[in-house]
Amino acid sequence: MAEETRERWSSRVTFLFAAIGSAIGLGNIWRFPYLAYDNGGGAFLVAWIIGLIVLGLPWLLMEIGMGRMFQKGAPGVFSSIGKKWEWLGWWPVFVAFLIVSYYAVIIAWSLRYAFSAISMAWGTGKEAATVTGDFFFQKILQLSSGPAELGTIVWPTFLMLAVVWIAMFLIMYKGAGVIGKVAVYTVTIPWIILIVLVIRGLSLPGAADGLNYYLSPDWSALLTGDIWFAAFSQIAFTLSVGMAGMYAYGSFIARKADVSNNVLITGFANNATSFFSGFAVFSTLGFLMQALSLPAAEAVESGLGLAFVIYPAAISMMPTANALTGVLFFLCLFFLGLDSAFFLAHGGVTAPLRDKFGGSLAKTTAAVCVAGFLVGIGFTTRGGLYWLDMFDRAAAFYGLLITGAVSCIVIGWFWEPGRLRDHVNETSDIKIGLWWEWMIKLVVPLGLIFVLIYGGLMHDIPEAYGGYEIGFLNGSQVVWIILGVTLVLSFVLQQARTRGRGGK
Amino acid sequence: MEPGAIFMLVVFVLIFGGGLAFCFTQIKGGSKWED
Repeated sequence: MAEETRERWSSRVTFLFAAIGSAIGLGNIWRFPYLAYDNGGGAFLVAWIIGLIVLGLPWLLMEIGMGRMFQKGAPGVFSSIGKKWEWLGWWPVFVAFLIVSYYAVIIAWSLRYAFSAISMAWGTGKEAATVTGDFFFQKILQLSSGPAELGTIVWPTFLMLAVVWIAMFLIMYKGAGVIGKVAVYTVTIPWIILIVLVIRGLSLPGAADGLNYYLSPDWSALLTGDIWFAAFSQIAFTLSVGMAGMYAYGSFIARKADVSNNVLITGFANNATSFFSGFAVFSTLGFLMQALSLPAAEAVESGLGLAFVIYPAAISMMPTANALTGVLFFLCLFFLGLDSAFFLAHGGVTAPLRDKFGGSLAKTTAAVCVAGFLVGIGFTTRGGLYWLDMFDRAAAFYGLLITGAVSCIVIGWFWEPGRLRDHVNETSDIKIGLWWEWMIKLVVPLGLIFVLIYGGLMHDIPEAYGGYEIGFLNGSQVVWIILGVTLVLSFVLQQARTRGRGGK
Repeated sequence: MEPGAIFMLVVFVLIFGGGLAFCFTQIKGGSKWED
């Protein structure tokens, strides 16, 4: 029987760590604290926790629950609902593949920075702190003038990318049993480092000022669309839903194990980690603002700017233990990214491919790793950052939101979500009520469509995404092309003959 | 720190601490992690 050979989590603890590890990623450190600062401080936290309850947890429960119920990855789940829907399972597989291809490059940059921090290669003192942007863009990335100038491969990044993919292969090729055990470490280590970084940050002068920017509430912000966009988008992007992987992670859960309580624990642990990360980030930024006499608007950034420019500047200004703080911070990013990356590669890509086409776990894993590495090489070029930005917009923004919204609509309106609720309630510690079905039918898709329109289409239709121009195409058109190609490929895979266990 | 910031800190520590504590108290022995 097919079920006898399905990968399995070895225990509840390993599943929980794997799920939490997939959810906790770079965005918990570099996106969440900035959004809080930029959207009413403590008031943002209220919108964000509402987003977790009405959008994140119901969606996460749907994906893990459907995977557990059908014992298949995303394409197999949708094929089981109806063969005509199988493409809807493949589209997020492409989303996951594209994301992990560039995510591994960001992990490679983190690894380069961890080594650079040993000798504080970007320098110490006030002068060095003001030019950390040059170190990142000119020395680490060797950034070209635009996406049309791809340039040569940056070999140190290429080398680190190879290291990242080799590490991921070694973690993944034996499946969920080993992944769960590794996740215990890749989650615990960054938690310990975060505790050290929070203590370090709070010991610095100016830390309290930084925390005021993070937590002081501006309640009037709750009346704006921006705060709800920021909160709902953060919830949509942080839980690793909409990337196919959670269906597969759910399918590795034994048939009589809990679902709903694990979903709650995963969601709360993820958001608690974001909340805690904010203390590490803002205590340090408070110190930087004081040390360089910077206004908050100049010191607070999100994304790559926070991780690779602003935080290194703060480290440069620290009176003691600069190198140690730097190594710990970038190792924290490395581990946070790593378990999200092997979630995407294994749950998001390898498991669905094996469901469809059969094949050994080791060989399929190797093929996925080689393919991810080859695509990732493009992002290690001097113009790679621009393309990374456009692929991120296509996959992690539009791809995730569209496939997530359509999946909820299909499961909510074209299938019977009550069957999933009954299935989950049979074995779970916490029973879920009828309210969950209406969350999937209405609230989650409407929330995702709101984010899609408010934060995406309203900007990318009238203007070129990122202001990029590549020959006769602009940035937005490249994004639409990436989306279109992955959608077509999803239909192609739907037509392919099923040789594994993923069909009806 | 400002009073508003301290208030939000306390509220969210209680939300996350209480939420996770609730989840762990709900764990029952009937959940089987092997087929």
